[in-house]
Amino acid sequence: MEVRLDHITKIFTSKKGDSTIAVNDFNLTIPDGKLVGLLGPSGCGKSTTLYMISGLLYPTKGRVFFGEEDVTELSPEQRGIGLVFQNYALYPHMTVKKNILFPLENMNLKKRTIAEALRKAYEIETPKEAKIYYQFITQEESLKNRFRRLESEAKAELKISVGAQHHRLFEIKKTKNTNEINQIKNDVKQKIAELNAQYKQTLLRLKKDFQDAWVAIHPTNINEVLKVMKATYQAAENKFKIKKFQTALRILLSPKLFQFSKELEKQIQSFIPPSVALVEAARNKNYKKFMNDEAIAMAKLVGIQDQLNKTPSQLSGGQQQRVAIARALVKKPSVLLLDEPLSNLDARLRLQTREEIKRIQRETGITTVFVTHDQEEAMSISDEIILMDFGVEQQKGAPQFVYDQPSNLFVAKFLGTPQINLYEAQLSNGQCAFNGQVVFESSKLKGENVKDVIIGVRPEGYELDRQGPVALKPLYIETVGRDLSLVATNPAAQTPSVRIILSNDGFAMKPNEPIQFKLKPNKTFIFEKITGRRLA
Amino acid sequence: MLDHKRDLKAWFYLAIPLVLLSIFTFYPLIKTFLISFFSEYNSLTDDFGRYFDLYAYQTIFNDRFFIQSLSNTMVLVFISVPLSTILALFIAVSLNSIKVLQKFFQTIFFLPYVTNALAIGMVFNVMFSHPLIPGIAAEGLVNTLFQTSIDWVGPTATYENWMMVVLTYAIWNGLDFKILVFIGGLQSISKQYYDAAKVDGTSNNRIFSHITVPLLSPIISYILITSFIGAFKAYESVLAVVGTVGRNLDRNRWTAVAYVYDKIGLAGTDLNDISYYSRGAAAAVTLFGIIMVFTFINLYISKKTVHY
Repeated sequence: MEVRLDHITKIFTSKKGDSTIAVNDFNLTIPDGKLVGLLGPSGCGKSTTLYMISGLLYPTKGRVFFGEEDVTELSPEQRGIGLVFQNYALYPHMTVKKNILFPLENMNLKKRTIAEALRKAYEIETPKEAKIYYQFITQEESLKNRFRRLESEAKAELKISVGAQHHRLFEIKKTKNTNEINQIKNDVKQKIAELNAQYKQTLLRLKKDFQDAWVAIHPTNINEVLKVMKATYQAAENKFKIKKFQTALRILLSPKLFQFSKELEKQIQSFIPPSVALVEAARNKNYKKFMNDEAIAMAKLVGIQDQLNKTPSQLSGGQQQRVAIARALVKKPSVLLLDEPLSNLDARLRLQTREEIKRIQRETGITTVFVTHDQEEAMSISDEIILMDFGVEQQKGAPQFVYDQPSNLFVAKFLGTPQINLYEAQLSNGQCAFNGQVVFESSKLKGENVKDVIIGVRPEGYELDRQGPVALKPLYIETVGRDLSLVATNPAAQTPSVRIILSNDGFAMKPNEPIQFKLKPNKTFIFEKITGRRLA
Repeated sequence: MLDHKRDLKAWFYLAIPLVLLSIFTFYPLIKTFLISFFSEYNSLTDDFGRYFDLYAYQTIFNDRFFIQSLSNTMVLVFISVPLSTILALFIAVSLNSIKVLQKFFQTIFFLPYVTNALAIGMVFNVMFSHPLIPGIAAEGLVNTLFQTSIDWVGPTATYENWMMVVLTYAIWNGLDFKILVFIGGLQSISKQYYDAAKVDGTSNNRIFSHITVPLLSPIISYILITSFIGAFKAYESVLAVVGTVGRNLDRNRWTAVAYVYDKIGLAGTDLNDISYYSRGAAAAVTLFGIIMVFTFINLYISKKTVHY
């Protein structure tokens, strides 16, 4: 299912009255069936966003959509999401199997299935009445949701305005001007009272509007409709039961007595009405076995079917992770949310679990969102990554695309290990220069004024060239596995040393003798120094 | 191989508690056992006498008042402990879930713990007081409130009335500490389990029975075991509500410990030449045995049900 966040804002207010904006006017669309990573440094609002999608936190402003449905006011279980917590939050006193079964047991499957079957039965027996009744129920539900929404919006508005008033008082208190403080205090008190009165009025108006709207959609004969619907079905069922009893008697008195249940089953098939058949099937289903089968199927999907009778503490971190995923998936949610799924695992397990999550997501085709601060993790699993900072989306796209075409300095710095190398430079006439050498030029920069810029060069963006414009003084060479990286310095670099990944195996260097490089244009980015905006 | 030098050091460190334990625990324990078997023991001369037998035990089990005191103790144990534990659990859970005034209510519920037992006893006395001759003094708070004239704890009180007051006192008196410990336990349960339960669509009742109680079970078990032991040894709860000193207490309203107290306060022997002191010791040993058996049962059950 597609998940859409529409102008989401989340403000946390502390007891003292000062507030933090965790997520600011955030828009996001997560396409159906995709694995999307929300990436950003600690405190950027990514977990808050995830929890708002889950319904554990409610947005201060804005709407959350699952497909076409507005789910902003719905609780987590009504939304139908699966959430895997960072520490998995497996219930320590239950076995793995019980952990997986727990959400299913909460769902009250039997009641649900029978209600569903009854609805279908009514639609068969009395299509006209059923249509009227269920249409009304749906409309009533959406009406209720709409008004709940309006109410919460009014409440949020009140909260923000009152917060602003408190803030004003808080600010003025710093000046220690008694006269002014008293004046403002009274003013603030009055304003807050006004706001509260206004809010109360709005609530009253909303309530009245709701009443009017409800009367408009409420069919006056709804009770009769319901009665007719129930009575008609009941009559059909009673008729069936009598016939069943008669048939049973006949079989008992016939020579087929010894295959009683088989014979009864066979004969019933010939006269059972389809509506009654549906309800009977729902009533006779073995829900315990069904739930058990579901749990075992889920355990098989994540590969823990041989651990079912252990408790979480007897499992390794990776196995616990899988149990948590199985528990999240067992109720067949429309969206799977993962909070830092790999951060509690060691390096080797991380690699394995990464593959596993990808596989599970592909097999189930479920829309999956996960949150991480580890760019490597995000880039390796996701179909799409979304970079966040200060509660605002910085860039989104396929991981490789974002890496190749960062839209601003933050994104360029955040993605990639080793980090991108940054140089202070000047732009004039479409040419960027540092240390008196023109290192980069592009037609895109022609229209720009003379200004300070930052040049970002990916570590793999250097080419050995005796006539190259960039001179780097080498410090040492680091070899980690198959990578060869040169650590060098340059006076224009923002960091004390820069790191360059070289493809040249036969590379040799002499200490303190500068090496000349050419920059690869597709690995070099120009950013405006003040705003961080990408220029080329 | 063990390092003997360090061995010696360890024994040295252990010596102080061992000496103290020997003097104040092991020696009295063993002597009590011995006294209970020497039925002719003379408490004034500390002379064990000639006979090593079970007559002291036989005597107390033929003593109507001992049986009565055991039954009183059992009523106290099996009514007050479960009730006060359940009550404390509910209060703790609701205290933990409210946001405003939580600390205030926590303090209120903890106040009795830091209040003097005598003061509490006096308050109970005043609450349930009843003048023997009408009109001589005002009725107590409870009688005034319910417009009744019942003797709750005085000499004319019925056994049921008296027991009710004692149970009320025992339950209420047990609450404070239990609530404190439960709240501590509840706050150490990670919030993530509740979030997970919320995501899983768990109803509040199921959260309580399937998550809170199992995760709190080590603490519940600890509270149950210690309170059962405490209730078996109850004595002051009976005295506090009656407001009299030991000997004046009606003999039908003794607890097991009260019986022991009474007997060791008497010197000499009874008509059958069984020393009172030996009878007290025998009663103490019997209580000790009951508590031990009961605690083992308790531990056995908790091993099966408690999640650690």
